[in-house]
Amino acid sequence: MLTVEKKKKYTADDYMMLEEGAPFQLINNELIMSPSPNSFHQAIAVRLSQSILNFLDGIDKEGYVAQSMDVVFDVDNVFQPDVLYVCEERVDAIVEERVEGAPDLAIEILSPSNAYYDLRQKKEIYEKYGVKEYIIIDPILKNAELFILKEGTYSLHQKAQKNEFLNSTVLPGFSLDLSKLFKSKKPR
Amino acid sequence: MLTVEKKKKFTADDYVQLEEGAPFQLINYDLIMSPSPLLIHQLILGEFYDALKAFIRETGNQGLVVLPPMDVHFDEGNTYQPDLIYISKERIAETAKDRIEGAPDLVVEILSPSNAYYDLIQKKEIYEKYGVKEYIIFDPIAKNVHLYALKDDAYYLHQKAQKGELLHSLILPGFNFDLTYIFK
Repeated sequence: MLTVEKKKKYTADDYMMLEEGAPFQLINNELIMSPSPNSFHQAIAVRLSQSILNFLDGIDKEGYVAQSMDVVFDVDNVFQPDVLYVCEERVDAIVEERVEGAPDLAIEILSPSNAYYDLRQKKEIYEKYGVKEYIIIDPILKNAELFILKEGTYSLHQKAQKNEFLNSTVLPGFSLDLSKLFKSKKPR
Repeated sequence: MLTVEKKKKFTADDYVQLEEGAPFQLINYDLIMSPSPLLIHQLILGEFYDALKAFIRETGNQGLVVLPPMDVHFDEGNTYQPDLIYISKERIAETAKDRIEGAPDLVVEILSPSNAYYDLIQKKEIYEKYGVKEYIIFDPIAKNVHLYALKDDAYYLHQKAQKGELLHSLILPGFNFDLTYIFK
């Protein structure tokens, strides 16, 4: 069996060679496949993006909001956060063909099959590179955790259940209604 | 596609009907399959068990150290097979039956990326709820270990240790596990 040392280390260059839409992320030099998102996961991501954009429109701010966009942190780490937000002031600096550097806010929606990466490795990289606010949504338990960067490390600022509101700090005044987020409506 | 509400709720009774050795745990009324462990998982388990047993013997501790497979039954929706458990002498009578009933004093889990979600989230909440005093989580990929301790009924991260460091147990004072045994 290969030890960790002999395993091939992939880089951001290798990652860029993957075909468009290939469902991978580069996490600590490993190509980690993302599971095909289920319909609930997608519905949550879309509603998150919609909520943030509506909020920005309401306060007449332009920020950048994207889903599953390549974010290049370093040569060993290129992620696709489920939803990201870059504030208006930083868009010119970091939003190029891809996002080059830490968004102000990253949101991940857990899938049991790869929650490990969102909870551990990606969280450490977000912390290391200064993603100011990191929201982890658990669609199974229907709750959300909001971490904010304090002196270089994340502290759990709020843990909210499905009938509560999650309050952002990088978007002051943005309050996410979790009961709406977790409603799963199927058209008849 | 079934919604969560319509999904069948499995119970502890359904769980005990599974054939012996079936690689499942009952987690919040769901039957979750455990992946076949990687070599590093079993090596970490072996080294930790070895060190813990040596400590138990040397200190005359009369608690139980149990390896999987061992069912630990918490409630109707939760029966787990932790990677390793320790039960103090005082609690053996109430917990050690044919299987384990209720919270061990210490639980160890070694993460596999494919099902770490359960160890980090759902099982952690149940361990916390039912009073597992100390919860140790090994991460063979990141080569670190987190030790959570119960305080006022909630877990706090008491220690995060990397390779080259010692993990210090709180409920077994003097048990210091040298991570160089497992993280090279």
